[in-house]
Amino acid sequence: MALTYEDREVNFDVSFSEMRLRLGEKVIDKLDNIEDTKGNAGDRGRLIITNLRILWHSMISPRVNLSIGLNTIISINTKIVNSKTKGTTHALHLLTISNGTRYEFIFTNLEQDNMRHFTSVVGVHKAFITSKLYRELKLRGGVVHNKKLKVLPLEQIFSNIHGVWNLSSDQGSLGTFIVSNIRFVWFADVNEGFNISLPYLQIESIKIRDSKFGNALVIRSNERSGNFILGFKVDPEEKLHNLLKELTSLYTVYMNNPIYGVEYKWSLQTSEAPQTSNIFNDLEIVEDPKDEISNTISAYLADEGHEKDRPPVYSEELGLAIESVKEGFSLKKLWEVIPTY
Amino acid sequence: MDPMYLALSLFRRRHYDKCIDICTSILDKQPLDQAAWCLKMRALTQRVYVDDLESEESPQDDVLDENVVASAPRPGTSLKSTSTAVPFTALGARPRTATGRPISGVVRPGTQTGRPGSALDRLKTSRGTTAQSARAIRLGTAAMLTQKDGPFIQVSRLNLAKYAKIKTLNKPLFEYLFYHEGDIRNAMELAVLATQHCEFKDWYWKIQLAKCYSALNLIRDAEQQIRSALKQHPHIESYIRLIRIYIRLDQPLSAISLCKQGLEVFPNDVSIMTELARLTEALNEPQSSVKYYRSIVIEDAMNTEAIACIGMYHFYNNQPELALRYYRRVLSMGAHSPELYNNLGLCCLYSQQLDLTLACFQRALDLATDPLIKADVWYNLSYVAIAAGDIGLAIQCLNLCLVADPTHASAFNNLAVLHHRSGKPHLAKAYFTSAREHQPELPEPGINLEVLQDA
Repeated sequence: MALTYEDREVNFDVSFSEMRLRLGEKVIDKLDNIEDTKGNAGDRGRLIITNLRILWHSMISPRVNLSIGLNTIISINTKIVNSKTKGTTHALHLLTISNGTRYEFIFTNLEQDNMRHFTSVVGVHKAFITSKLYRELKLRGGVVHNKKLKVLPLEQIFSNIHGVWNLSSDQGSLGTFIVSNIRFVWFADVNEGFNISLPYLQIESIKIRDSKFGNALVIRSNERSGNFILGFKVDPEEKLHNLLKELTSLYTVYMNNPIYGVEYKWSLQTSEAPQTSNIFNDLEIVEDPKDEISNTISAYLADEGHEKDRPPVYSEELGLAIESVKEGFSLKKLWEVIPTY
Repeated sequence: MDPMYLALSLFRRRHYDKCIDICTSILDKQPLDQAAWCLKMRALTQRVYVDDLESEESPQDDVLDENVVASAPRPGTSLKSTSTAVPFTALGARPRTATGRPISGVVRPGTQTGRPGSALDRLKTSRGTTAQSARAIRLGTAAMLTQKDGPFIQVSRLNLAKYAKIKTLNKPLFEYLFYHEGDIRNAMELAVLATQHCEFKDWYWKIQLAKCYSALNLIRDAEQQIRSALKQHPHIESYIRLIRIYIRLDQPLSAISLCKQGLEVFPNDVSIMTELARLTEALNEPQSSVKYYRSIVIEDAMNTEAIACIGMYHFYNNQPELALRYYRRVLSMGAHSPELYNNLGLCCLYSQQLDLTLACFQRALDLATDPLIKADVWYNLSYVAIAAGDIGLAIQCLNLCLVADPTHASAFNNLAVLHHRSGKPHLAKAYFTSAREHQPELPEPGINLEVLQDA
């Protein structure tokens, strides 16, 4: 089971089966007494930070919950709210964008002077952002240096095959094919800037197919990274089959236990975060019907009632690309505070 | 990367602390590297730089200041005589600050809403006050704190005459002395030497001299310097400094005519127009002040101060819907302050948009960290409660307001009225009395007490 949506969508009130951890997903931090100030003010809840997403669920009724993928986060802020009488409370502001819609989340720690919800979210998000090579297709990136692969921290290289033809262009180009436990990388011998790095996470299928160049290794990437079809050719035939075998076995091993590459160490570990795959070990599970329409979404919209951005157009007036203006408005009208007629 | 290049780049990107560190390491290797020395000076200055055009008044001027020409000026020609003409509206009179001026739309350092008459009356300007201009003290100390190995430059050992002749160093050094060390006298000496060296041809030095003179309270000398600088080179900052000097001399009409001169040279300049609008507001002419604020907004539709002032004018002129539009504009520009949400809540309440009223006040309460502001939010919430007819809730709100700010005279007054309504005349009397003690200028408690005594 590859990743479906966990790290790149915001979901509300998901069913318990979806709240469970995915393969390879780990709980990094778990905090009680967190209030979701924007949507369920006054509810005590629990915040669970995994290496793919941030989960929040209410303690009273766990079916009220949020799942925020780390990939959706645009900005993280902290604000000091409430004044001296209550003691200062730090609220965590998350701005996210999912399927073209902006959502805002505000989490408040109900314990005094506890900053952990903030530090761990920021830390995990940083670790997630800096480890994109583990999870995403990269074309013409800076992954190769002096004919050597820049190895990721959790990566082991298994084989390094020279003289592999990439069949993307008509005449093909000669290059080197590197297989590791996380991804494969191919780069051209002539120009190492011409390269591709594709993690197994994004691979749909690996086959040998007939092409106009003879038998070739065909690798399809999945929809999330753009349905690429990559063809590679190795001579002799035997070598090609060996490569296929190696790739498929590594691919299945990886898929049984994905490595997402998000590493996070506690500098001040107060309590061992229990690594249970069942989040609800102390809650009664009541399975709810899956396809209930929920309108909780509207409570979290960052700009009220704004679902989708309009398409960008060129503005003659400013000489810039702008979001197309609504019917009956003009730039001048929107800019002016005091309308001139 | 070359450390000097890196330091310059950091300075450009305003990473002053890192820039200072790199300059220090360069100077450790080459103690005579003037470029690094100069850059370090600039970075240290920029780190603590406060725009002295927006600096606070020193109240010492008010009491012991003899710069003012007329002791009994005609009404409308001075900033000191408080006129009592306050716009009356359906919402009652526009509230006033502790000294009897109608409240203004924006709080800024140097908002002089009325002048304290004696040293004891120096209670409330927009910040706490000290006996002398606070900036000068603060900068000197703040700069010292962060340096472990003593000051960067031993000012007493500095050969000012030598540096005044070096064109590339004298300006940064002056600004360092003036802004970072807060050492006005040495800065002035340097400025005098430098301006002699360039044969009085540089308007920059004249303005700096004027800065020093006005910091030392030599107002007329400063005026001369700025006037001669303006002859050499018309500059917006020079105009504004001259305007400020006339305000200190309490000659608002000269200041206004100067604003108009400045606007002829720099048509539609926002900062000069802002001065004009503030001046007319201080002279209690809200109509003309709003007119100027409007022209500011036409020029710069993102000017928070102007938009807020126009919004407030409309609110107290019985047009809360219009005021709401202006405050929403400020909100959409990205300001999130408790004051703004409080004003939005009030506008919503009076323009009957009740679904948003409490949400705005909730936000204001969440953001209010300063007890004085918190008190004001609770005070305004009591109006919401009164509008809903819930006297008990209103009393609660006012009590919470007094918890946050025990000197809130208006809250005492309103609390007294509510207690009187619920049949506790003696309690009401006590509250009225304390309201009058906290703020003698407030007319309501006095009138209410008279009514109680007649009854």
